[in-house]
Amino acid sequence: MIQDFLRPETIDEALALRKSKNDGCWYAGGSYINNADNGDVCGTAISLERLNIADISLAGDFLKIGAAVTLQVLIDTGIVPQILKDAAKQISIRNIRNAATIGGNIGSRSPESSMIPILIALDAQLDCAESGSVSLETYISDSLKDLILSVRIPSNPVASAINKISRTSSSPALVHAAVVLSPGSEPGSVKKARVVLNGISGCVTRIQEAEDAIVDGSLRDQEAIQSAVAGVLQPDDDYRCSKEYKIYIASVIAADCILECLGGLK
Amino acid sequence: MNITCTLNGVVKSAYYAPGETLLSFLRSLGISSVRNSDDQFGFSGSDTILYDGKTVNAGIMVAAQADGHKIDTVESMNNGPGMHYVQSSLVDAGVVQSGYNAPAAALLVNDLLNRIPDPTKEDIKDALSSLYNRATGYQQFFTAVEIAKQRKNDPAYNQAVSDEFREDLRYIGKAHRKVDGQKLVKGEKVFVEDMVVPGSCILKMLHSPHAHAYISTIDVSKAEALPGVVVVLTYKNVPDVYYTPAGQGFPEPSPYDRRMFAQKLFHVGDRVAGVVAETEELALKAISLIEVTYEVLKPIFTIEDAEAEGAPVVHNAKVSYAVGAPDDLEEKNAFADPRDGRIEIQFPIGADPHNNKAASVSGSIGDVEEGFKQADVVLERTYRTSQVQCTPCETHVVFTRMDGDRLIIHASTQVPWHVRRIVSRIIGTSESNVRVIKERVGGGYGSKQEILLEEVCAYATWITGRPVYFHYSREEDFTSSVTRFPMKIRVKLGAKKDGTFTAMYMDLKANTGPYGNHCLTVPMNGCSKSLPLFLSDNIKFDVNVFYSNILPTGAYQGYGAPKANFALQTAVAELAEQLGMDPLELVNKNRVEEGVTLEILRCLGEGREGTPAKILSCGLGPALEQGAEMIVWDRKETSDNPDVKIGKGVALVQQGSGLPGLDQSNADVKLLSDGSVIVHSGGADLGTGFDTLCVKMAAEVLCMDASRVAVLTGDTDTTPFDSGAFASSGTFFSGGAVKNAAEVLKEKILAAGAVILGEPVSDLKIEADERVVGKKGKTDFRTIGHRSIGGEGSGQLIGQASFTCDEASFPYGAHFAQVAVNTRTGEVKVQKYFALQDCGTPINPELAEGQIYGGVLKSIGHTLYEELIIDENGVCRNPDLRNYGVPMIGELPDEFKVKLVETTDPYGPFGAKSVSEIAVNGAAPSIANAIHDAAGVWIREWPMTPEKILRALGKI
Repeated sequence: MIQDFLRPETIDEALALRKSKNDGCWYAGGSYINNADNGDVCGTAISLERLNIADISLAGDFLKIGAAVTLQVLIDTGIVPQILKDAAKQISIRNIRNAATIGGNIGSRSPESSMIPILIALDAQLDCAESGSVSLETYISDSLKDLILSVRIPSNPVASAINKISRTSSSPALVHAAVVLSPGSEPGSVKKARVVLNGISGCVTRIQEAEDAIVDGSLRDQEAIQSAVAGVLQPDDDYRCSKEYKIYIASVIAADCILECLGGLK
Repeated sequence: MNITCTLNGVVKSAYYAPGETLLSFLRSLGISSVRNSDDQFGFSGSDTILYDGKTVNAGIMVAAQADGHKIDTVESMNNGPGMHYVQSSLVDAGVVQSGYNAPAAALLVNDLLNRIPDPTKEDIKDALSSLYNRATGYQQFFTAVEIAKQRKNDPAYNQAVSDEFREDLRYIGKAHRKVDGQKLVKGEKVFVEDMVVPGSCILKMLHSPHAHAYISTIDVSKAEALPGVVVVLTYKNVPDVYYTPAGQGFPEPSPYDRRMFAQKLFHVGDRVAGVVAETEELALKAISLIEVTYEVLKPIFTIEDAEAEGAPVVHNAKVSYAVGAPDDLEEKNAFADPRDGRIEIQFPIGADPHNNKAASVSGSIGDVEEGFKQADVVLERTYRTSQVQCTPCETHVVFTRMDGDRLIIHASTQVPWHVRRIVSRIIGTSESNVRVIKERVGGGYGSKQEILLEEVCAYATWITGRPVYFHYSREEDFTSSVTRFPMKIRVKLGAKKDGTFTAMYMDLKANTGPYGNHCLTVPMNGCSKSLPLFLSDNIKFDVNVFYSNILPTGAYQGYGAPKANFALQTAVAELAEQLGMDPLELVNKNRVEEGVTLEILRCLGEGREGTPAKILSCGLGPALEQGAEMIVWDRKETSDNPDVKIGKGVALVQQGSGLPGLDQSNADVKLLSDGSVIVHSGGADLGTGFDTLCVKMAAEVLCMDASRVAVLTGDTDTTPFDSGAFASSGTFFSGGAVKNAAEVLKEKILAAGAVILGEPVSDLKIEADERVVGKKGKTDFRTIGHRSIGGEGSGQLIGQASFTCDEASFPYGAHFAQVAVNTRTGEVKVQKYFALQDCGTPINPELAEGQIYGGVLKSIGHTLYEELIIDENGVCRNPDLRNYGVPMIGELPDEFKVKLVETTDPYGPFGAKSVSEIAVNGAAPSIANAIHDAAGVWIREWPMTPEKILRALGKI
C-alpha cells in the first residue's frame, strides 16, 4: 500500500528520492500499481507528474514518446503509427487508457502488456535517466529499473501486425503477438524480422527461430510457420486453459501476424 | 496529510490517510455517487470520475493524486431539482435499472458528447467500455446517447424508446419515466452503504481456508483483547439455531443445514469467525490475531465424487424432520458426528444427507418406456453446465442498528419479509421487534433472495446494541454468496419419422455445494420450465441433488431453467439433425400452444403437489414466425474469411409468473386530503421498475395523472406483507395486489362520491383528472379526500387488497442467434441475437426490454465466457469480475433486438405476465445450435470456449 506520495520537480530530485526509498516506485497514472490484480507493489510513490515527460515529437525518422504519455493520448495523436494505436486499444477500457502511460506499461513488465511486444518488435529504444539509450529488449531482459524518460520508435514502420487472445474484450489476455518485418532489397524479401509473444511463458518472448527462417525465406507457409512457432513454446500452467491450447493458439495468431506482414511487403 | 483540489468546481482542502484511495477520499467528502464494485480492479467503472477532464477510476488512484487537480463527479451535473439532459436521457431510454453505477454512466456519456457531439456506434462503445452493466446489457445506451445528443440543443426532445401496447389504456403498455430513476442517476444516498451512520462498527469475517474441515481449536482471546474490538463471534457463542439462507415461504422446501457459525466448515470461504470492531482496520487486525487449528477432511467437488461409493460425507449431521421422517432415520443418525451439527427438514424432499443427497424427486405421465418403443428415432445426450455467479454491481451488504428496543435492518434484499422472519427466529425475538427496510438494490438477480449477511450483522447489533455495517468484498461475493447450481443433465427423446415426439425423459443431477438452499426447487424448476415447452403423452424426469464442497449455490435469475432448457433444446436440435429435419420445423411441430392442458405440471409443484394447467395465453407462434423472418432463417450466411463459418440457432423459452398457490402479495392505496394517492406495497423493487409499475397501475385504475401517485415499497413496518421478489412474481403477484387495492379504493371513492352527490353508486363513474361524475352532478377526489378525514368524515379512504392465484401464467419466448465461428481459432462471435418475448401485456415496455437485454447478455456470458474455477483444494482461482469473465459492451451482439409479442393473460393484472427471469433461458441452446449449424460440432458444456470448439473440431 502506498504510504507516501512524493512529487519531485526535477529528474535529479526524482533519482535521489528513488535511491533513498527502498520501497519506492516510479508512479505515473497508478493504474497498474494500484490495481489489486497486481498485488501490493509500492510503498513510496515517486510521481512523474512534474517531470515534463509527457510529450510526443518527431525526431528524424523516429518518434519520441514521453514516458508519461497516456495510452489514450497515443491513440488520439495523429503522428503516432497506427500499429501503436492499435496496441494501446487492446486495453479495452477507456478509463484505464486515460490513466495508464506507455512508461508504466513497460515498467510493469506484465505478461498482459499489449505495448511491450509491439515495442520490442519495433526495436524500440528507451531514453533512461541514468543508463541513457538502451533497447527495450535489454531493459526487459536485464531487469533494469532505471527511470524511463522516453521511448523512440521508427515513425513509419513498413509491415507490422498484432493480435491478442483473451476470453472477453476486457478479460486478461492469454497471449499477445506482435510482428514487424523490414523489407529487403528484393520484392517480398525480408531484411529483418521480429516475432514477439507476451503472456505465453510469463514473460515476453522473441521467436528467433521463426525470425531467422522468415529472413532466409524458408518460412512462408501458414502451417510451417505455426509449426515453427509452436515448436519453441513452453507455456506456463494456466488455470484458464490447457498448455496444448496455449501453444496452438499462440502459434496461430503469430502465423496470422507474420502472413499479414509478408502480404504487406508484396 | 492534507490535499487541496477543485472538487465539482469548489476548492476543497481535506485530510487523507496514507494509502487511502481517491475513491475512499471522495466518499469521505460526502460524494455518494462514486462507488466500489470491484475492490480496486479498475474494471466496473462504478468509481468513474473526471480527473482534469478525463474519465478515470478513482478506486485505482491514491488520494494524493487529487492534490492540485480538478475532479468532477456526477454531482457536478446535478444543478437543481431536475436532471441534466444526459441523466434524463439515460432514465428515459430504460438503462437506469438497478442504477448502482448510473452516475458513472452519466459521466461517461456526458464526456463522450463533450468530446464528440455526433458519436458513432463505435464511439459509444468506446466510451462505455469503462462501464460494467449487468442489469440492462448496454443496447439501450445507443438510444440514450441519441436522445441526449438531441436534448443538448432541444431540451424538450423526445422519441419513442419502445413499442407501445394497449391503446385502450393511458399508462399501461407505454414508456414512462422510471419513478426512482432520478435519484439513482443523480447519485443520491439511496443504497444501504449510504445509510451507515458515523461511528458504526464494521463486521469482517474470517473465512475457511479449507474446503472441508473441522475446527479443532479456536482461540480468539488476542482478538478480543484488542482495544476497539466489540465482539468476536464463533460457533461457540452464537445461537444454536439451524436455518436455510433461502428466502422462501415457510415451510421451506430447503433443509435447515446452516448455523450462523459451525464447527464444521463446508467450503473455502465458509465462516470461521466474525469480528465486530470500531474500524475496518481494527477488525482486520483482530482477524489476524485469531488462532485456529483445523482437522482437514477430504473434500468432494463433483456430482460423481458425491455419489461415489464410500464418498466422504459432507453433512454427517443428525437429521430431523418436522413431518414425514423416513423409517430408517434413526439408524442413519446413529453414525452422525456431533461436530457436523444438525439438519432440520420441514417435510420430505427426497433427502439422504448421509449419502450426500440433499434432495430428490421423480415424476412422470404416460409410459415413457412404451413411448421410446414407439419411436423411430431415439436420441440420448448428456449436457453439463458450469458454476456461474450473479455478479451484481453492488455486492451483498447490510447495515443494522437499534431503535430503542427494536432492531432495524437496512437491507439490499429481494425478500424483506423472509429476512425479518428468519432473523427474528435466529436471534430469538418476535417479528414485531424487527424492522427490515429494503433500500435501493444495486442488482440482485436472485442472489439477494438469500439471507447471507443479515443474520450475523443483526445478531451482532442485537447483543451489543451497536450499529454494525457488513459489506462483502467482490471476492467474498464470489466465494461466500451464491452461484448457479452446476448440473449434469441427460436427455432422452423419442420421435416418429415425421418428428412427432413419442417420449421425453430428463435425468437431472445437480450439485448444490455446501448447503441445500433451493436444492429441491432449482433443479425441479429446470424440469418444470423446460419439459412443458413440448407436448408428449409420455414424459418422465428424475432429479437428484448432491452436497459437495464447491462454493455455495442458490438462486439465480432463471433458477433451474437456463440449465435444463439448454439441455432439452439442444437435444431437440440434435434430434432434428438425426431426423433430417429443420430444427425450427421440429420445434414448431411439437411445441406448446394456446388451449392445451399440460398434464406434466401435476408432477412439478414447487415443494408440493402441482396441478395440470391449461395454457390460455401463448405467444410462441408469432414469436417464432417473426423471429425467423428477422434472422432470415432459411438463408445460409457466408463469410469472406474461409476460416469463418456462420450458423443460426433457435430456442424456445418459458418461465412462470410467481408461484401459484404459494405466493401472496398485499398492497394498500390511500387517498390523501388533496386527492392524490400513495401506494404501499410489500413488493421489492430490485431496480426492475416495480415501483414505477405500482404508480402506473394505481394511476390507470383511478384515471389519475401518474405524477399524483406516490409509492413506498419493501418496508416491513410501513408496507403490507409480500412473499418477495423472486420466481418472476413482481408484476403478476405484487402488481396484482396494487391493482386490486386501487380497485378497492376506487369503489370507496365512488361510494363516498355517491353520498356527496346524493346519487346511487351505480350512476357514478370516475373520469380523468380525479373527477367523480354522476348523472346529476360531479365531485372530485380532493373533495372526497378532504371530507373523509374531517371530524365528520368516514375515515381515510384506503383500498387494501391481496393477490393470490392458483392458476399458472407462463411467459414464453423464442430466441434466435446467429454466430460466426472461426474454425481456426475456435472463437465465437455472436453476430445477431433476437429475443422475442411474450410477457402478456408489457406494463413498462422499455424497462421490460432492458431486463431482457440484460438477461440475454448475462446468459451469453454464461454460455461463452463466464465460469468460476476452483482448484484441487476448492480454492477459487478467479474471484474477480475481470478474470471471471463477465461480458462488457465489447461482447454485445452486432445486431441485438428485443421484440415484445403481445398476448393477454386472463389472470395477470391488465393481462400481464412476468418478464424478469425468462430472458436468461435462451442463449445457451440457441448459441449451441448456431455453433453446430456453423461448424458442425455440438458443444454440450458451458462455457463454450474456443478450446472446447477446437477440440470438437479436432484441431487440438
